[in-house]
Amino acid sequence: MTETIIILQNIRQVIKTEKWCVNNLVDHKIVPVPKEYSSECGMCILIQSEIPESLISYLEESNFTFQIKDYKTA
Amino acid sequence: MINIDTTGMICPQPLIETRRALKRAQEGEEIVVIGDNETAMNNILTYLKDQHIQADVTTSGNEFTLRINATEGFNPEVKAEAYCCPTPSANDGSYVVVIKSILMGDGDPDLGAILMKGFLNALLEVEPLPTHIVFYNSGVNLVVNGSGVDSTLKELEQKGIKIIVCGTCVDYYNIKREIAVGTISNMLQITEILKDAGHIVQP
Repeated sequence: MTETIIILQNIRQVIKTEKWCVNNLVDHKIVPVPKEYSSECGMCILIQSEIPESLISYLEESNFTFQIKDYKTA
Repeated sequence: MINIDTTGMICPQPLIETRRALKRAQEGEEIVVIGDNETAMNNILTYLKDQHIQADVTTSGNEFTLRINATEGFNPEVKAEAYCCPTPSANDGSYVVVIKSILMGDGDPDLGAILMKGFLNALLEVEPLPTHIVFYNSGVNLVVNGSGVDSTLKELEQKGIKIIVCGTCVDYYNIKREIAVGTISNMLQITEILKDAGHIVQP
C-alpha cells in the first residue's frame, strides 16, 4: 500500500488541509511527523493511497509550502 | 490430584484458585497449577513459602507448572490478596487511556481536535499498547462513523485493545446508531477499569 505523508509548514496549514480532505472525502489520517523528518512536535497528513491531483492543486493554490514524503514510522 | 489451569488469568486470580485447591485437598494430595503469568507464579510461591508448603517449579517460556504437596502447614485464614499488589496490573507496564473530550488540551478547538487525532493515530505505533481506551463525555463522539479516527480505533480494537464507551454519554449525545467501534458500558465497569489500571494516560 502506498503510504505518503504531506508535511506542511505549520499546524494552521495542517488544520486547513485536513478540513479540505474531510469536505472532499479524501481518506487521510493525522499523524505525528516521523522523527526522521523533524525532531519538532508536528502533525502531518497521511494518505494511504495515491494523493489526488485535486489535493495537490489545493495546496498549490493556497500557497502552502509542503513536502511529500514516504511514511515511515520511527 | 487436583489440576488447576490459570492460563490467561492475572494476579490475584491464580493465587485465589491455588488457595481454594489447598482448602479442598486431602493431606498429601498433589496439586498441579499451570499458568502463564510470571508475577502470579512468584506470588503463589511466596504464599506457599510463608506457609512452609513445598512446591516444585518447572518453566517453559512464559508457562509454568507448580507441583504442590498439600500439608498440615496450610492456613486457610491467610488471604491471597495480601500477596498481590493492590493494583493488579501496576507491575507489568499496562495502562489505560482515558479520552474525556474530542479535544486534546484546552485552547483553540481546531488545534485541540487535530492534536487528538494525532494522539490516537500515534497510539497505533506505541509499545506496549494500552489495555483499554475509555471514552466519556464529548470524547464518545470520536467512536462514531466519520469521526476521522474511527478506522484507527477499529485497528486498535483488532489489536486487542478494549474500546469502552460511556453509555450515558452516548445517550446524551444521541449517537447510538452512529457508533462504529467499541463496547457501550456503564459507570460501574468504567470505575472498575480505572480503579484497576496500572496507570492512566489522559491526553
